[in-house]
Amino acid sequence: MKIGKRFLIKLSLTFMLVGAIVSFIGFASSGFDIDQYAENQHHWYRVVHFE
Amino acid sequence: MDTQLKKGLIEYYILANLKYGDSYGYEIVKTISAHMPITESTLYPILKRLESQGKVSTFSSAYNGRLRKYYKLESEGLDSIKSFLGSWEKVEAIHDYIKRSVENE
Amino acid sequence: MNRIEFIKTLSSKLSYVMKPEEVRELVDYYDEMILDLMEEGMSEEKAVSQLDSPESIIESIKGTPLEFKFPIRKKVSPLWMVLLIAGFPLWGSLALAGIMIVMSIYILIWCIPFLAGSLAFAGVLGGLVSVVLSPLATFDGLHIGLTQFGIGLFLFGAGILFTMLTLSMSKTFIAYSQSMTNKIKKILFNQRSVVSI
Repeated sequence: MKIGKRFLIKLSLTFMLVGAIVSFIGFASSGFDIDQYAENQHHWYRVVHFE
Repeated sequence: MDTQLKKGLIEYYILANLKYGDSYGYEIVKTISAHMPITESTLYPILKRLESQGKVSTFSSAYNGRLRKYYKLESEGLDSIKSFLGSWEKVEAIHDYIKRSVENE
Repeated sequence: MNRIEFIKTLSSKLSYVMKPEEVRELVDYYDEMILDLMEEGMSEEKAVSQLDSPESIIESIKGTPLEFKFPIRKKVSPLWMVLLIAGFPLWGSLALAGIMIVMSIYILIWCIPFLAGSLAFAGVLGGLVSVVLSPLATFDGLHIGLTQFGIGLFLFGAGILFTMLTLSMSKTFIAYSQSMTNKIKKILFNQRSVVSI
């Protein structure tokens, strides 16, 4: 594998870390308020549901 | 050396060679041929037989981008060497007998 | 003869005499020799000519232990036949039960890579969808889009990891299943003997 295994592992871990940070930031910017996500959560493009 | 005699000895020679360390086909041919000329085609059946008898095992290792097959001595093989050495006295006795047979002309 | 010709000739001649795996082993052996000789500085032609010709190699493999399948024909006396047939309901159902158990074990074991695979698929797919749709989610609010993006990325990364895990587990399990199957086959059916021809 030219794109080696080690690289993929590092890449996916990076994704996970960055993803966690970004979603935390997003959540933080809503004021840690789950109700902020309640609006329009039934739109087709909305993936994150807090039923 | 007489072919029959060679045949008898060569297996132990190979096993002993592997006792010094794992080796691969070409290296074995070179080392053995220093004392007992042998062709690769002769070596192959012997190695396969030793493997089937459990006296050696094989493993592959990467070398220069290709896979090389290495042979490694197993305990069965070591036992085989020991039993050969154990029977050395008998060999000497037979050698003496044969020697005497041509001395007493 | 050059190396490739030598290998081709040897393989094709041998394929009439030995099993494919054994042909492979033998050809690899000589190929290794040629390459080693060439490494010592010999030209390809010279290296090949150092070896015996394919024809004489065929001759010299007499004396090589090859594996033959010996279906050991038990001399089945009539009495045994009767017992076997009469007892079939018993040993037949036992054998069937045995097979079922073995199969269940296989299925159980394979559940693990399957689970990993499902998680991989879910992670990758879910992650991708979330990330791609997150810009749209931003219309409902920046925080929403960000969170969706972040979660998507996280899932995607996890999905990749699980994919790699699934692949490596599958390889191991396939090898294990194959060796188990071979062992069982050997025990039940043929006794493989190693013979010198």
